[in-house]
Amino acid sequence: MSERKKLMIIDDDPDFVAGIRAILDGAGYETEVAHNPKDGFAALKARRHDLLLLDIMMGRGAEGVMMARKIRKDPALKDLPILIITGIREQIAFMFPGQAVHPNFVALNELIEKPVEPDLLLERVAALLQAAESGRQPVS
Amino acid sequence: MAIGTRILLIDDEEIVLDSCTEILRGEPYDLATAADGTRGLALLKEFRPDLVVVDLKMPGLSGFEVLERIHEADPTIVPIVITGYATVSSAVEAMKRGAYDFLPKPFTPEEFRLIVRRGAEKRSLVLETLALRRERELLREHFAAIVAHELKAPLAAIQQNLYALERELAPLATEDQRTRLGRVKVRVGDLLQLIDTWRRGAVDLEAVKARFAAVSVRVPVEKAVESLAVQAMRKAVELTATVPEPAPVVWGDQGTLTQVLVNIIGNAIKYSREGGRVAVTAEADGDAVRLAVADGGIGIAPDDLPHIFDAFYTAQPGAAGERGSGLGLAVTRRIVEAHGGAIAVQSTPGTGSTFVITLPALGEGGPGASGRDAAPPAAPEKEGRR
Repeated sequence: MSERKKLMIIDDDPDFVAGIRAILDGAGYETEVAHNPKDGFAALKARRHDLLLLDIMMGRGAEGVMMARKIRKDPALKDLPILIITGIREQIAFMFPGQAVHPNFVALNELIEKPVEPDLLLERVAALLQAAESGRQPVS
Repeated sequence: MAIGTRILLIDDEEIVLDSCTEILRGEPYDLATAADGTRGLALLKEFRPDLVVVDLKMPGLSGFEVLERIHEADPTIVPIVITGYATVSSAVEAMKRGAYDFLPKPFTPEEFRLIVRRGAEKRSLVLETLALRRERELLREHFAAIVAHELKAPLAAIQQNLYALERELAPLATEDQRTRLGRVKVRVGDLLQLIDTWRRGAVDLEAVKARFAAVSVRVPVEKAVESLAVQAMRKAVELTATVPEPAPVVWGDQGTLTQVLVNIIGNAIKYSREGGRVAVTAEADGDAVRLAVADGGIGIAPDDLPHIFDAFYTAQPGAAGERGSGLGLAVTRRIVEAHGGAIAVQSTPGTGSTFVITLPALGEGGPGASGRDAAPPAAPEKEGRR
């Protein structure tokens, strides 16, 4: 790895963020954090990032979903890999009945459940970064 | 409060339309007028009135018919009728049929203004009541989900930090410290699982029944297997699913059926040995559909077997000290029974267990069965069929 990969974390729970950030920092990634979608989007627009780790339930509801949709519509950000980390995997299935467990409501790359074991987290992050580098979507 | 209230005025007399328009000039209302019932009704969709003032006696579509159609289109619209001298009895009739108020001709500008203002107030009360009721229903429907999220969020933050700390402290901690940290992790994990189980148990089965539809058993089987793939992989358990083509169809709720399978298959993995095998099989058996989950795990003691579907019954801990909350199987049985099915188990300690769920098959002519026989292809398709 020639250069440290930059990861953006958008999650409104600072304690949870501290937990995943410690794991990611320990693995040599450069992390930046925003605690709400608005600041997060501004940061994504201002600086280049290699991957976004996104929470779903923020603020008044599933603001992470809206955030992901907005990113997918943005010409400069639409190819940014998104890893959704959520505590509401089942609720998502409930909100979008009939969809597969990996919901297609927004073109996200991966969805994992909180809390996430360090090995699983690092493996998914590495896989997404590698897939983005080779210019194709991972087969989940 | 009444600002922007939209009023639709329907009267065949041009002078009434003009004078009413004049009376309301300068008031904070949006006004639209129509010279007969047909034209008035045509405006409903586009103008979306809060209030409709309609003359009962008009050529063409009568005021009564207009009232009825308005009520059909949107029962929250507040209807007010205008009546002539000779038709007080029809005003009474109109009130009986749901008109909010009536205005006898001729009326003074002040009377008209007053009745419109009252109508606008009524409309905002109706809307407020509706909004509150919707909010209450939403809260009731999602209560368990909301509580579960509130309980899980802090636990997830705790667990995530334990994961991180365990890694960071690994080179420094003593054996005893590592063991204790590991136990804390397990206990927090149990708590997280318990909340999930509770949430499943808190499902309003009557509401679930109301959304029953034809479900190809392939969908819940594949979803459950997919969501447990990581868990199986961690334990090196080979997880297989066999569903015949075409897949049997049942009348039920895909979400809760998936939960049932997640629970049974999850248990099978939990009580399997490292490198074991869990096989999920679906098959049509006459009028029934059988879903079997077989493991070659530690099995269930004969003493425990009759009680495992009882709430809060926990069997002897397994080889690695596995112990359930005593809720999972009870919830599972409730869901299966709500589907008109049954669940049974056969087990030999040391050899393994087989759970069999039997559900009534949906016949060709069953409710909603038409056009649903097509099962998704066996290829790794991600989209579930509804």
